[in-house]
Amino acid sequence: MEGTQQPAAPVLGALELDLHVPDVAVAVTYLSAQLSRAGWIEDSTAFADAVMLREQHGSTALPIGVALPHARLGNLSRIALAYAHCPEGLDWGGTRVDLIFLVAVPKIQATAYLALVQQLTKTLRSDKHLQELKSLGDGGACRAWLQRHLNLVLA
Amino acid sequence: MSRKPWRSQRLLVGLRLLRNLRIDERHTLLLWAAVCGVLGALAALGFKELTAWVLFLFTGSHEGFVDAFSSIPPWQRLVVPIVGALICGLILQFGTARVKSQNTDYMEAVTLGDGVVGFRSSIIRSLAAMFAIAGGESIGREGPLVQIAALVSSLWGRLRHLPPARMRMMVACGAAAGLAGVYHSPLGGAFFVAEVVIGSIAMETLGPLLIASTVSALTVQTLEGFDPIYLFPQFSQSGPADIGAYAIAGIAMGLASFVWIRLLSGSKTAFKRLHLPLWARLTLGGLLIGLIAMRHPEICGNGKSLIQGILADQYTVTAIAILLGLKVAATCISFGSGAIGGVFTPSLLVGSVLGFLFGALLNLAHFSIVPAEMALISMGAFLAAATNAPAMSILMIFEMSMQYQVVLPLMVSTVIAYATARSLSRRGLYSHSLMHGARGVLDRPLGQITIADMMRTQPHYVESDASFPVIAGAFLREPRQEIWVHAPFGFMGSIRLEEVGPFLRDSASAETVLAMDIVDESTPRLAPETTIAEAFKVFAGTSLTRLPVLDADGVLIGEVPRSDIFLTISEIARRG
Repeated sequence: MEGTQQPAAPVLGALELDLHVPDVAVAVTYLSAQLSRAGWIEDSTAFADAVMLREQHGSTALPIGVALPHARLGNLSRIALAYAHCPEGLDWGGTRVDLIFLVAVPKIQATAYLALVQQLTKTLRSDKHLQELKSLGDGGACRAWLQRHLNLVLA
Repeated sequence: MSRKPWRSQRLLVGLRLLRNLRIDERHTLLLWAAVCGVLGALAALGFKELTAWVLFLFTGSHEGFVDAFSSIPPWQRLVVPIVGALICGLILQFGTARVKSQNTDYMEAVTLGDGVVGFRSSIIRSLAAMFAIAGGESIGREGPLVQIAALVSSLWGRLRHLPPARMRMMVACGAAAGLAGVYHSPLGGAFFVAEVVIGSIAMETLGPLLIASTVSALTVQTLEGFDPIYLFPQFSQSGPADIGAYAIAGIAMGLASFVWIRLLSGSKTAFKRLHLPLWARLTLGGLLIGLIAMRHPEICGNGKSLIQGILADQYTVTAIAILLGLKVAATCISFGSGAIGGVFTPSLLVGSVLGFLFGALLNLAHFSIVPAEMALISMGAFLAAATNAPAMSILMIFEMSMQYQVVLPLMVSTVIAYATARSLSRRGLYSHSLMHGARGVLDRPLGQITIADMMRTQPHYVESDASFPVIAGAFLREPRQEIWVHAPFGFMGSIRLEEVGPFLRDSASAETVLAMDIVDESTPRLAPETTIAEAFKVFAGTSLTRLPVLDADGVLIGEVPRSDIFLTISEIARRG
């Protein structure tokens, strides 16, 4: 097809294996700042606000303890993620969540975003995969795992 | 050991044959056409029965219109048409005031739009027609009858969630079935819809129409028998001289049909000039019909039994000449005053009367021809000229009389009448401007037609916070290329099937995705006042197959498929 080029694969922009935060807002603010520091998004505060606004329309927490907070940005060239593991768990609008994938989505990449979400949900619905990911304590091993199972590109 | 491989080979060949059959949507359409055939026939018969029942209520007679009205005293002949017209008028006046802007025109439902025939307004119009017809108005039944047959087919299509193009075909099949069932003319019914409603005899559309007609005819045959409508004694073989006479009759019928259409539309304009409310206009029409019926009850009804009498050579020339004047006047009054019905059978009658008189005239000039035979042929010629549908007319007269001998003279006379009428005017009996006045949307110049005239209301949309499984459900329920997203503040954008298609099957694993996460907010928009020319430009710049229509506040009020723009233009071109 003319004019439609394959968008670049989602990139893992930040990783936090031992996150201790009191609530969702702090978690989102912190991970947004990480993505911003890594150079993937420009205005960290505006992005965090957009993510929290989006959560008001519908929680992104899955019953398996994974949350996929996200917001859309107009000037982004590819999907960027920040991954965090909260060993103590977090109350995410009534659901206990310990894995967070914060996603910055370019406005025109609906297809790539849907592909990512389905891939992520399908992979982590398998209990074996979920426990495997949670057990990873080393940053390098975790990056490699995410690269292999979710087809993420490492920054 | 040699048997088994041989058997499996045969099985393979069979499988390959099956695969080559490729049963696709066009084939299932034939099945739906058959369903429409049954529904259309039942609806048409139902309407006929109910009308007969109202006629019994009015006159106490189970006979045809002429016999029923002849059997009651003159004062009652005056009262019944007035009462019938008044009830018809009241139903129309107060019924249609409540349901506005519904599409009742099955002809328009077939040629453009989404093939939805308005339910309540169709019922109201048919109910009104029932009282006007049973009240003795000189008008036919085909209008409401086809309407109701088209309505049930349209309802069936909606129930099956058929796409618009198929819906339009369903309505067409219903209309064909209705005509085929009532006139006992399966070929004529199918060709009527092809020639008059769709405007072309293409196999792609004719196939389903023929199936619907056939099934309708079978249904009627099972329920009430299927004899030719007009019994005709043996039609004689035509020689070259006879054919010459029929050709001249063709020219005469072409000219006469031009006058006939002028009279009908003139009468409509004259009644409109009175500036009376609809019910009063109809009652006035009923009064005039009643006054004529006091002395001449034979003008009541569509004229079917009169045609039978003429073809059976039962009347004197003087009686027929008087009948012509009265019947033309009565039909103009009924049609002009706004009685709902049809002018099909009245036109047949005028054609047959003119033909009979022409035949008698030839006899006076010592040319030997049977006036009743001339009447039958002229009936077809007049019909072809008035409806702009020569193929339908040839087939219908053949089917109505079941005499093969009529075909040769019929073809000559019909084609000549059609050509004569077309050279005078392109307007036919079923022209939009005749049926609905000159205000028809598609009779306006192209530059004046706006999106508001052609948009489809009730566009399919999801709320901005609808979850992906809800969006997937909307796409799967109704196959379409895009769906609109509406937020509390107004229209937001579109979601394209092309983008989300691969994820529809497993929509549950994207349950955290909402419409607002994937909506394309750069969707071009149309306004109700956008002209077709401007809409063309907007469509040229997008790959969307339809565009949303927003009001001044940004609220989604409708949508326009790309194909409708083309259909509208082709329909305007066709109406010339």
